[in-house]
Amino acid sequence: MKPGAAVSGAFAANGAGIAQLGTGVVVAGIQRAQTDYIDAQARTAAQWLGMWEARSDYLNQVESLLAEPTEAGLAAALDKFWNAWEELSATPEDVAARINVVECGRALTQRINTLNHDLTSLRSRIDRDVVDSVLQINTIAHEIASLNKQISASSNTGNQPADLIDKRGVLLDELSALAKVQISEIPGSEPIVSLGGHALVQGGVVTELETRVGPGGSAQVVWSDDDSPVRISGGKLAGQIDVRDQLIAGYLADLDSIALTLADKVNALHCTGVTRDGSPAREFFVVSAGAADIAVRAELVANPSLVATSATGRAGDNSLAAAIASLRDEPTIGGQTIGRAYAQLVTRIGAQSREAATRREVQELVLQQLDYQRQSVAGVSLDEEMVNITKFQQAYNAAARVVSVIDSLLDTLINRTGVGGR
Amino acid sequence: MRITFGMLTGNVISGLMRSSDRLIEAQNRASSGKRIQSPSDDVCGISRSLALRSAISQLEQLSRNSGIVRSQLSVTSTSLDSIVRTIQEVRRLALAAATSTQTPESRTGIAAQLDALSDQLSRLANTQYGGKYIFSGSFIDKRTVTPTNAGTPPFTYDGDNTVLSVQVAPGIYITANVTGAKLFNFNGTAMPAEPDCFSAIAELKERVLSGSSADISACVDRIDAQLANIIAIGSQVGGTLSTLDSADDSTLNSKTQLQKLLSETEDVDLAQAVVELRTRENIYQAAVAVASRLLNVSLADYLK
Repeated sequence: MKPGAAVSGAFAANGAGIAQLGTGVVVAGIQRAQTDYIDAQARTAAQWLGMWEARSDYLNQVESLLAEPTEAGLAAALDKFWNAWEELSATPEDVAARINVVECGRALTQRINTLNHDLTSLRSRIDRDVVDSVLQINTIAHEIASLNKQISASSNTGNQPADLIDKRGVLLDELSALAKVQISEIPGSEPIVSLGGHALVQGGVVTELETRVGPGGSAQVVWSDDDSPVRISGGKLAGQIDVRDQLIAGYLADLDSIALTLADKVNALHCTGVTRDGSPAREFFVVSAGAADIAVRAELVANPSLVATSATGRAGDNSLAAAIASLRDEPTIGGQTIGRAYAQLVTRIGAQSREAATRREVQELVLQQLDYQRQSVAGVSLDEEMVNITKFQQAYNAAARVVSVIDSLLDTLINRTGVGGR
Repeated sequence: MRITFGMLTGNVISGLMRSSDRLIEAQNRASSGKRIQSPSDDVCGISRSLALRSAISQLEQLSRNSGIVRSQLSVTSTSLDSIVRTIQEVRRLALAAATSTQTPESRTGIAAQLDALSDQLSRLANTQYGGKYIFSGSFIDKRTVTPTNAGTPPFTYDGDNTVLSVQVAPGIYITANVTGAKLFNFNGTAMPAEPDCFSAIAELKERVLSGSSADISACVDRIDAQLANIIAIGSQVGGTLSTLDSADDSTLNSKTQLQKLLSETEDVDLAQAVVELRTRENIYQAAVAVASRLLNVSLADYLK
C-alpha cells in the first residue's frame, strides 16, 4: 500500500527586514492512504467469493461423479435393468434373458454403490478441508494478534507503523475469504476481530477454533474456551460446511431413497413368484442401509434360473416379469417414477452447481472492481512516481541553480572588485 | 480514476483468463459435438435429455420385443395354414365317404387316410419354435398333445389356456400365442357343445367304417365347426400381426422424433460451434496482443 509523505513548509528564518527566506520543506510524517470503507466492502465480497468458490468447486466434482448424460450414468443402467425385464417378459422361458436380468441388476446396483461411495468419500475429503480451514484461521488469528501487539507498541512511541497496519490488512482480507468476521477498531481500545459474535482476536489474545468429531463422524467447529459451537455464516469455511452437511447429505439421502424404493418394489413382486423348479422365489435385491449396500441376491448371481417370471412357475408364463418391467412407469417416489426421481436429483445438482458458478463469477468481478478502487487510492502508479521523480529532480536542479548564481555573485564580488590586499 | 500499474496488469491477467476459459469451453463443445457435458451446462436441458434417453431406450427394447413376438406369430400363422389345409382334407374325405358309391374297401382306405391326417394334425399341434411348443399355453416346455393309450379321446392336451401378453409399444400389449385348448377345442374351451378336433376326426373315422351316409354328414358338420373355429383364430393372428406392424411404425416414428429432440437438446449446431470457436480464438488473440503491447510500455522509456 502506498505510503504518502506528508510535507509541510519549514519554519521561515527571519530575514533582516522585509522578506522571509524559505528554508524548504520537512517531512512531517509518513501516512497510509486511507481506504477503510473500500476495505470493508472488499472483505464482504471476499466472504461471498470464498463461499461460492468452495460450493462451485465441490459441486463440479459431484457433477463429474454423476457422469450424466452418458451411457455410463445411473439413468442408463436403470433403463437397461427395466429393458432386461421387458425382454424377459417376451421370452419368459429363456435362461439367457434371466442372465441378462441378473447382470443388468448387478450393473445397476454397482453403479448405485459406486455413486454412494464416491459421494461419501468426497464428503470426508471436504471434512478434512474443513479442518484445514480451521487451522488456517487459527494461524492467521495468531499473526494478527502478534501484529496488534507490535502496532500498539510502536504507536505508543508516536510513530504510525504503516507497514504493520498494511500487513494486518492483508491478513484480514485472507481471514474474510475463509470466514465472515467483524472487525471493530475503536480508537483508544484494542482492535477486536470477531466471528459469529465471539471474539477471535482481541488485541494480542487469540481464542482458537477447534474441531471436534460430531454426530455422523464429521468435524464440528467449536470455540476452544467454552466448547460452544462456532456460528459460521460466510467464507470458504461456511461453503465447505454447507456442501458437506446440507447438499451432499441431501444427495445421499435421495440416492438411498431411490435404492430402497427400487429394492422394495422389485422384491415385493418377485417374492410373489415361483421359480422354474417350483420353489417360491425370494427377494431379487438384498439391501439393509440403502445405496451403500444394495446388491442382487448372491444366490441369483450364482444361479440366474432362480429368477421368477410368474406366480405359476410355468415356462411360458410372463405375468410377473411384465409386472416388474412396468414398475418403470409406476410413480413410487413422491408421485414420481424411480427414473424421474433420479433425473430430478441430477437436475437439482446441476442447478445448484450452475448457481454457485454464476455467483462466483459475479463476486470475482465485484472483488476485482473493489480492488481497482482500492488500488486507485492506495496503489503505486509508476507514471505518477516517474513524474514525481522528474518534478523533484527539477526542483533540485532549480535549487542547484540558485547555489550556482550565488557562487557567481560571490565570484564577482571577491574576484572582480578591487585589488586591495592582493 | 487513478490507474496504477497493478490495475493494468490485473486487468490484463483477468481478461486473458476469461477469454482462455471461454476458448476452452468452445473448443470442448466443438470437438465433442455435445452442448451438455455436465448437468450444470443446461439445467432444463439435462432433465429433458434424461427423460428422452430413457424413453428412447425403452422404445428400443419394445421394438426388440416386437421382433421376438413377430417371429413367433409368423410361425404360428404358418402352422395354422397347414392345420387348416389338413382339416380341409379331412372334410373332403368325409364328403367323399358320404356318397353312396363307396365300397367297404374304399371306406377302409378312407379311414386309414383319416388316421394319417389325424397324426399329421398332432404333429402340427406339436409345432416347436426355438425349442418352445408354441400351442401349449404357458407349458411351452411340454408337448402340446400326446396320444392316449385307450384311444378315446385319441389325444390329450398337456398345455393350459394361458395367453402370453407382451408389451410391444408403450402401453400396447398383444397376445403372442394361440393356445391348443382354444385351437382344437380341448375341454370345450372354444365351443362348449363340441368335442375336441381330434375326437371329432376319430368319430368321423368310426362312422366312415360303420355308419350310414346320414351319420357321416352329421360328422361333416362337426368338422365344419372345428374348421370355422380354426379359421377365425387364424384371422385373429393375422389381425395381431397387422397391429404389430402399426405398433412398429409408431414406435419407429416416435423414436425418430425423440432422437431428433434429444439431438436438439444435447448436440451443438456444428456451424454455430465453429463460428463461436473462431470468434473466441480471435478474442483470445486480441487479449494476448493487448497484453504484449501494454505491459512493455513505461514512462521511463520516454523521460530522458
